[in-house]
Amino acid sequence: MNDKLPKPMLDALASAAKPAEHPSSDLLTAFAEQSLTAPDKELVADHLGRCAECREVVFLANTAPEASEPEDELVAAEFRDAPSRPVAPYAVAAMTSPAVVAKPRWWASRWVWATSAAAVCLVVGGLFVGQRFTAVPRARQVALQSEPALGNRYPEKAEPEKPSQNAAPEAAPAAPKMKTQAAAQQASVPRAGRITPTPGEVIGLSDQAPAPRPSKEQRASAQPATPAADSHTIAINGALARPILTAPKASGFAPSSGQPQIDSLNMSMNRLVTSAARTQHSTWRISSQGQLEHLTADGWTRVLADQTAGFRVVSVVGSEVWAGGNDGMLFHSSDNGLQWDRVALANAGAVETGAIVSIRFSDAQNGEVETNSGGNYSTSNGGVTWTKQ
Amino acid sequence: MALTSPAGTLGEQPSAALREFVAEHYGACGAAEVGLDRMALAAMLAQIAAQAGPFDDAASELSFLQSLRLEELVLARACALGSEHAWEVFLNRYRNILYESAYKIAPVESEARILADSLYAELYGVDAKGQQRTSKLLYYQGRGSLQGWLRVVVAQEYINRYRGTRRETSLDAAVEGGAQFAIAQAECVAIDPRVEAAVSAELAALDGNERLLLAAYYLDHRTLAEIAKLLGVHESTISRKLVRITSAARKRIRKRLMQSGMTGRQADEVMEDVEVRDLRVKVRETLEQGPPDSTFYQKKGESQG
Repeated sequence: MNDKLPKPMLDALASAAKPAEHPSSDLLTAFAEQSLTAPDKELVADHLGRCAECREVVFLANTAPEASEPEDELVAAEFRDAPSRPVAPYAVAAMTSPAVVAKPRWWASRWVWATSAAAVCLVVGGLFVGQRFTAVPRARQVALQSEPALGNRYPEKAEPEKPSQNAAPEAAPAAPKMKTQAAAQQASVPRAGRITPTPGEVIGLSDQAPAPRPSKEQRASAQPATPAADSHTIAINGALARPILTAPKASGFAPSSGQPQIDSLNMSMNRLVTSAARTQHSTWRISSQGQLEHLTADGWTRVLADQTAGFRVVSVVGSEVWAGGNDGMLFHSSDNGLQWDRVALANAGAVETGAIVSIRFSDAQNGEVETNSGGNYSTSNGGVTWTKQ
Repeated sequence: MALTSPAGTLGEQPSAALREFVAEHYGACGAAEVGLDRMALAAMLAQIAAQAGPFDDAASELSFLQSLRLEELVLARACALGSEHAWEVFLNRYRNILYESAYKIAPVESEARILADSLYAELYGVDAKGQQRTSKLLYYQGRGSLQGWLRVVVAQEYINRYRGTRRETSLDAAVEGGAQFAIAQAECVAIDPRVEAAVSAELAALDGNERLLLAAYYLDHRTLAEIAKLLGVHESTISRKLVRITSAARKRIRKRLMQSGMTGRQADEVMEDVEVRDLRVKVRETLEQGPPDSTFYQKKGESQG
């Protein structure tokens, strides 16, 4: 800008008499937001031209961040809909305390991105390495198929001497973590727009469901009786659901050379996949008490509350919801949980009594159900008929 | 729980346009959810309209009422009147905005936190004794957004605090920081009344926006981007306006000065802001000048010889 303001005019502008009255914060806000009528805008602009203090305020406020949406729209909606209720002073103090409201930092966001990227790399790397090493157990699996059928996909790990007792110490440390994650998920209610379960996704965590403890005779028998801690059932994007073997060393199974490394790789991979699946938002879940719950506007609501047998898995394909649990319990809803039908799994008149540990549907019609007793049922007509494999 | 607005005690009688407005918007503005009945809402709006008025007719009053941020106004007023549910909603929606604004405005994190915390107390309305509750949210009148109002309040509070603590700055620290305390300049001597009259006339001819532009750019040294953001226009528009205003002002002042008896050169000199360091002395050209063909001494000798 080549033209300068004439010196006397600049001096006069600087030494102009400051107005005694100032516009309210409300008017300054409206001026900055261009929401004043023309006469009011002219008045406020004229005042700002004379008052350095108000100019400072307006420019300072204008550099502050723009509007950000509430943290959780669902919570906001809940506030709108909820009746008036008092807030404890400590709650207000806690919400207003600096410890709660942390200033967002650039390095914090970078760490989040870096952590996410590292997690993705680990998952991809784990899948890649896992696929390379699984060639060995698959070969052994083929070799062992001549042995009496144990009904387990991984026969080399299917005969632990004390499966339940040995698996418990390994699974125990993971329990508080899962509980914490569940609590965190409950505390931060996911946005309704984000709740999009992928087809064929098995969401339930069967290890949290209370399973009847097998008797000593049952454990000693040839039946594998897949331990509860061994039956995380995760199927993402149509991948084959398989149990996660969490305690290969403690199970007493003597692995072949190189097997510990394979198992540790599988374990880490499965844990990563498990944690990735848990972080996905879902409207259905199995609680730690083995209850089927559905996320509604009122929060997590128990569904099929009259069922005493614990649920273990729930699978969602669009509006088709499948929930399974102990004693061969299998329920199906085709309207996203409004109405439920009990589905009986039977083969040649024998009703399935094993706990359902895996439900995997590729679409609304085709799916598979797996039990801990080795039963593997498939359907191609949306669950009308089942075929045991 | 029905909240009673203190505005009702001011005796502002709702006009017909206001009653019609309340009847139309009471359900949608969420007043019932926060316990504000129709009478309280009407009294509150009547108070705000009385402060903004008077209005020429009912249509202009209705237009003003429709320009208000009614939902946010109801929320703020309900918070100020003690609705815990409204305060919960306010916390959920505006807590982060308040803290983010404080962190953006205050350069030091601890200052920002203290600033935001103290403002929270004022918004909640706890007085020094903790007995009477007078919320700052009572001053929000819905002319702009509530979050914009919060930013302005934060900025005002920061400036007030800065002024309050500025005198506590030690001179040693200021000197170490590079501050120089020059001797105060003597007041300008004897301004030519013709110049004063011409400049005053020119300043009076400026409208509010032009005056704000000049003050923000030349006095506060704000950037074009900052001014453009405030006024909601493009930077180039601000630049063009500044050029137009300054050149026109210069021409008009010069013309007035010449009409008052000054010559053109005198008028230009008066308007120039000449300082020694601004003078462009062509040192090299001056030093490289060769001796003139006939110097003074040569001429003097020739004349003596």
